[in-house]
Amino acid sequence: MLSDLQAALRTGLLGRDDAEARAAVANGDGLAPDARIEIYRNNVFQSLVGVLAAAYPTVANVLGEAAFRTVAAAFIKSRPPRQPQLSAYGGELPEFLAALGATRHPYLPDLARLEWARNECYFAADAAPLDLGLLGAVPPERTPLLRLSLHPAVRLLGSRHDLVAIWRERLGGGGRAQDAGGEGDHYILISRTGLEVQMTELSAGAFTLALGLKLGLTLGRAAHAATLSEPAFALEASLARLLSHSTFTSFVLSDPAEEVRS
Amino acid sequence: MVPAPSPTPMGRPSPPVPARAGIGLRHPHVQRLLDERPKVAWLEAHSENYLAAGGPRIVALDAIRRDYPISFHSVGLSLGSAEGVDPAHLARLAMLYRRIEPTQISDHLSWSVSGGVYLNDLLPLPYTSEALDIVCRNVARTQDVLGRTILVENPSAYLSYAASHIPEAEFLAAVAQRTGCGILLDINNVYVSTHNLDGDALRYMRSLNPESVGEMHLAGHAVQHIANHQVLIDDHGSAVAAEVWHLYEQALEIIGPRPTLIEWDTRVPPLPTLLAEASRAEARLSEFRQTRIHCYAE
Repeated sequence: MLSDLQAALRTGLLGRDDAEARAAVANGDGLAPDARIEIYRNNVFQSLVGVLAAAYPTVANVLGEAAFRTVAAAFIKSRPPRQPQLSAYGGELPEFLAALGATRHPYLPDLARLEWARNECYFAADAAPLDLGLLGAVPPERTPLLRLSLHPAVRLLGSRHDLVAIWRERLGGGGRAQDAGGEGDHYILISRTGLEVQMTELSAGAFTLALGLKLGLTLGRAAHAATLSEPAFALEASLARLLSHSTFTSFVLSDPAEEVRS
Repeated sequence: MVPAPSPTPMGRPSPPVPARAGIGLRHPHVQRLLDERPKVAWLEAHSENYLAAGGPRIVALDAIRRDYPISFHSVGLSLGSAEGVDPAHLARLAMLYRRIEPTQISDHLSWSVSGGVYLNDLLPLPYTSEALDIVCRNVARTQDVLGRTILVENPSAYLSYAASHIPEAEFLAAVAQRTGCGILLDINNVYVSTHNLDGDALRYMRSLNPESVGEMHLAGHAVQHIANHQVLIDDHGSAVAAEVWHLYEQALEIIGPRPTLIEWDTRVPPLPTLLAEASRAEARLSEFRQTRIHCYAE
């Protein structure tokens, strides 16, 4: 049966037992079946390692080519692609790296999260950023009732490591100067302005504000949460910063009565 | 047998892919294509590279398609999968094809999905009557869902199966005959596979109905030595080999002039190198036409 043959090849190619696959391959005068299967195994792994290296260039730089190849191959064996859309393949690599445990680079899983967020941002749906004129027309007393929709390309990432500095350093193939990173928390907005993926450092308050709006809170409630995370939180400046990076696409004004109830 | 062009969303038919030389659309060349609009008859894009919801790639393709006929070449349909063609993937392709309105679409006589796992390689099929039924069913379903004819490409192969009992070219011809699909004849693949599996390239091409061949591919391959055997690897990473150019000239004699694509997608060269390679194919196409006109005139 064709389905059995294909299952045997799949098992053999992914590096498990290939006895059944070898038995199915014609054995003539030329190259032996295992060497023929090995050509395909190389194609499968080489192409998928390449896909992961393209999505995670700085993780690959940190690990070095050989170690990245080893980690990527282990990842491919344990989580092969489930769909032929490779721009969506590899999102589980950060968790996979975290599960591998402590490495010489404790920031590595977070760096991978940043790269995946950049990847998702790059391929996300297009949408026109919020028309600031419309926002300006909302009467000031009603602005706390605004619910703002985040742009589909926006991602928010918090980390204990100075990821943006590490990323910039490593993308150039550069060294370890920044690896120690600034201590303390870092809050990153990943967004697409025009067609460019951008990374912006936010204050704890601005990050909480964006996160609250993403979760569907009104501007008033999200701002309150932001004040709790950053006592000196300044709503207008934070909102302006988010708006300048195409963070939102639209808004609705929620019903005041509903706000009282909730 | 080029599929009839379908109307674009604006009601304007896309120009058909001419029987001339085209090049594969590669990301590093996009900006230059947009800025300089070099002369090339058509472009072929890999469908799966444009499946994302949005972003720069698809926006650039929207712009490019205004100036060049676009053919879409997919690698993920897995037309040879026993478990059938993935409806979710078909739906994604259908959406992309509605947006870009390619003048031609194609995929491969191979499989890459088993147990829901996508192996990202074009794996060979055993050429049996069971596999023939499965491929025909998958091709028919694809054509039904997409509402258009597809071209199916002969694969490059490094192994054959003990169970195979139908020659590949006859298998491919039977798929075309039973489903009405066309054939994308990859000349480099014919060369590579018949070398690796002791076949006969001319006999292969003569086994096909010329009418069903809608496009040809040309690409470079690598020569490797494994356990004292010379193996040709279809890596699309270099210029077209002299032997493959020669086989292409024979293909023009046997099948006739067809839209011909230069595929060079690993170690991608600068755009002018790719265009120069396309002009080599163009020269052979026009030389072929001129000698034919000459013959008829006499």
